[in-house]
Amino acid sequence: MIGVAAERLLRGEAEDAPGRRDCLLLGGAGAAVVGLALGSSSGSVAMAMYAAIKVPLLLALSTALCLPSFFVVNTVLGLRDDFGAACRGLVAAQATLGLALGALAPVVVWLSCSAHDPYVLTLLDAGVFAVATWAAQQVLRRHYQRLVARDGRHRLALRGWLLLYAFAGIQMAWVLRPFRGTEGFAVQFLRPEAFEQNAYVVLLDHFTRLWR
Amino acid sequence: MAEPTPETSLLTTLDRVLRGSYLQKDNLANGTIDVPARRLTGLGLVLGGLYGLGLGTYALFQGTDHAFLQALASAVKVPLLFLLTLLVTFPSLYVFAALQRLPLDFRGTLRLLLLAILVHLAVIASLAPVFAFFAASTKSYSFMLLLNVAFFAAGGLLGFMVLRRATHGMFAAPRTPPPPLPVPAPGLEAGGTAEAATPPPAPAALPRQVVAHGAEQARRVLRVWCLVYGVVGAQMGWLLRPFLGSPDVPFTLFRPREDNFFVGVMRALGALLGR
Repeated sequence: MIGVAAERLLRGEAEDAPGRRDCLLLGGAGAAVVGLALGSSSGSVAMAMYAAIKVPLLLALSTALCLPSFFVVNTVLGLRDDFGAACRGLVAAQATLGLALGALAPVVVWLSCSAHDPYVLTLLDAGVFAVATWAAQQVLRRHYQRLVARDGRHRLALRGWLLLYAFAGIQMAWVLRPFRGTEGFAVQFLRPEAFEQNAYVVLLDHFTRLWR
Repeated sequence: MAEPTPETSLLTTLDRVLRGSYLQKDNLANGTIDVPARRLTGLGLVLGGLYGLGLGTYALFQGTDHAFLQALASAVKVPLLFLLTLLVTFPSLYVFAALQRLPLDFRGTLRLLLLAILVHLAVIASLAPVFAFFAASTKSYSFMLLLNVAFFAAGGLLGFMVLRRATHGMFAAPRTPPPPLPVPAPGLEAGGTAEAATPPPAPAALPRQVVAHGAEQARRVLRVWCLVYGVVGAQMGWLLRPFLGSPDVPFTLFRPREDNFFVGVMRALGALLGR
């Protein structure tokens, strides 16, 4: 049953997409599986469980944060009548993101076995998320193809969504870290300084240090 | 002009504002915007207050001096920023619009600007959860300052799009020409009026040259409006600061007058880049 839903999600056109419940199940399960794979690299069962909760949480919270402005932007652009279809596209894309992450879980385990430098592993994890995001984009594009053909302003709404989602998602991932667990750090759901640092400020700091 | 019809709820009005229902072609052609300015102002106060509270979360999360007062001050100051900017710029905006023959009277122009401001406020209010999340997870004051500027700019862009759509629609729409000026035509008998002598013709499609000229007029109005409103708004925001409340500075309702908005943004950018 769930296999059929996954097939419809990956192969089907926009109108073949599975329902909301199937999408939630597929995306949530896939994200939890990759969380397990990431967390188990520390060798701690608790860390694996934490990460299995945190990856689906990351996708859900980032979406929830950006949805109000997506609604307002769609309405202002005169696309309110298509908002249901746009949301179905977003749900399908989120489900694909989770599913693709789940499918990449064996790769994550393999990476954990083959690399030990935490910085290299962080970079590789970012690569895994980038590949899964690319997969989600394919499904989102299928959903938006008809919408954009009907009204070109959908393209603008979609770009706005992607920009804000990526912006908020990166910070959400930063707050929810660690997903792998680092040697020398106690196993914790969130780091004590989780709410004290900003991913972009840290990145800028790194870049400016390189520049000097 | 017909009296604006009363709305049932603020949410219904907001929904109509966002959908652009008050700026339909028929209304624009007649030069009427059928929504009370008082209702739009009330909605603006609510939406601005919501975003202001979102800004205030930075003070709350950072535990700055008098954080609750700062949050409250921000909730009051955001709507105040828009109201004062409109108050200062509206006379000049109206004069520029009338010079370009924008087919809206004084009240109509005010309502159009209020509609654009409401869209601006609705967009930033919808971004308040994102701002609050960053406020909870960021210490850097400069980053939050620039994030606020970016959100204001995004809201302003959508407000501008609404204005653009409306002004272009007004100049391009076939409409009933305005009644002749009240100067008695030569040869009219005593008691006769120009309106009685020449009944207004029915609305008709405008020739292409007229439409092109109308688009140029709309562009001129928008350019002047954006320049005047944008510069005054930015500086008004600077005068009404702080909206966030720096963790290193004790609470004040207003900061002393120094520099300007653009210097402030450049300084925040410099601080973020560690210069």
